[in-house]
Amino acid sequence: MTIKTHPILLTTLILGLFALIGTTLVASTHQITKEKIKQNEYETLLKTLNSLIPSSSYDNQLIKDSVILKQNNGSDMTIYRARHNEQAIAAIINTSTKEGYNGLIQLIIGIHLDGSLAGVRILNHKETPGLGDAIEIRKSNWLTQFERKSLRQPKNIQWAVKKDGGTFDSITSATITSRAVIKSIKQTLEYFLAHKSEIFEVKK
Amino acid sequence: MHIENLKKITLNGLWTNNSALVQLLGLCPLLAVTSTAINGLGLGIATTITLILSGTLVSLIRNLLRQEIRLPVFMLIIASIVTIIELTMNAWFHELYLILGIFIPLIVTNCVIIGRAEAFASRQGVFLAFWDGLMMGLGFTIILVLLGSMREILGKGTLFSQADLMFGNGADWITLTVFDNYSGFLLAILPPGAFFGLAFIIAIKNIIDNHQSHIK
Repeated sequence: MTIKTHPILLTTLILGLFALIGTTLVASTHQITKEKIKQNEYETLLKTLNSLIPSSSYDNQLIKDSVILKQNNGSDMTIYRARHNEQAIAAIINTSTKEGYNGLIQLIIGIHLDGSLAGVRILNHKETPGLGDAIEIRKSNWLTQFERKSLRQPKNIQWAVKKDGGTFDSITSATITSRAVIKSIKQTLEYFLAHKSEIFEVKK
Repeated sequence: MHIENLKKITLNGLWTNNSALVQLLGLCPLLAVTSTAINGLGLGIATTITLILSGTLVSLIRNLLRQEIRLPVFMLIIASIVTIIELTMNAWFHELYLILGIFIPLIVTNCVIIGRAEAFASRQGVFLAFWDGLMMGLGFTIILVLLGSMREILGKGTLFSQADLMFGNGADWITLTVFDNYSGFLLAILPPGAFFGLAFIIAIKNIIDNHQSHIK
């Protein structure tokens, strides 16, 4: 019997067998759940987008009608365009800032055609739990103070936290995080104003 | 005899050999996520499920294994289980996944799981292995919630904040504001606070143990 004379062979076989079973199980779970996960992610994204621009105000496929543009600093940003009867009504811009306390903060910023903010949400961040994470809408309503604000109101240098002479509250003990988010919103508004026609006309 | 065994395993998991306080295993996820009690509970539940499944499975296949390859096979089993749990939750419990999701990959880095597979499940019957997983997991969860509560009360003046994230919107009432207008104590929430807190809990456990051995 080869098995008796070659115990290493049996060992290899057993290990191989387990690797095969493990991989098969993971791969088939992945296959089974793939579509469902994709759909969940789509729905979650749509839900977040709809919290900025209500679904009743547009009639196009928000997620399909998106375009990727280069930002001034060279990084890509995804822009979802909301239209009603082919008329542009708002854009939701997915952008990010590296100026937070820890790593990248990913934001989506909804802007009405007139340049006023529909709202801001945080998609991803690594700010300090319990402090900087108050930028998440489910943890505090800090982000709601930006609704309906635009570059006309408040004016230029007032787009800052109160500590820096601006109009906005900062999160307690998380001034760096607050500054980063406010700066990113301001830059996105400026980008929107400067590229408004391009944003809505560019084809996919 | 059987009951005696179960009692011993229970006591082992919850106290004498508690994975967080005595074995000091799984410190990386333990220290990282315990900034609030609810976070601690989330990681605790996910770890307990993994411990139960991996313990049971390892015990089932223990006679097939050979000495030389047992560790890679344990790793394979644990990694597969964790990945499958993650995918399944993402697909069918998406809301829960959005909350617990970040904890799940952390579980693979928790050496208490492979530790129990090696030290216990691979030598014991299926039911005992299952029970050991449950008790080790519970012991770990209790410490996670305790440490999370301490840090949350000291750091933010609340307890069980964001309970709604885990139990749905009706669960707001669980959240307690311990101190009104509390200005916060940053150190408790930052990583050093986790070390101080854990050290404090271990010290108390040691005092109790010493005290009891004196009585005897």
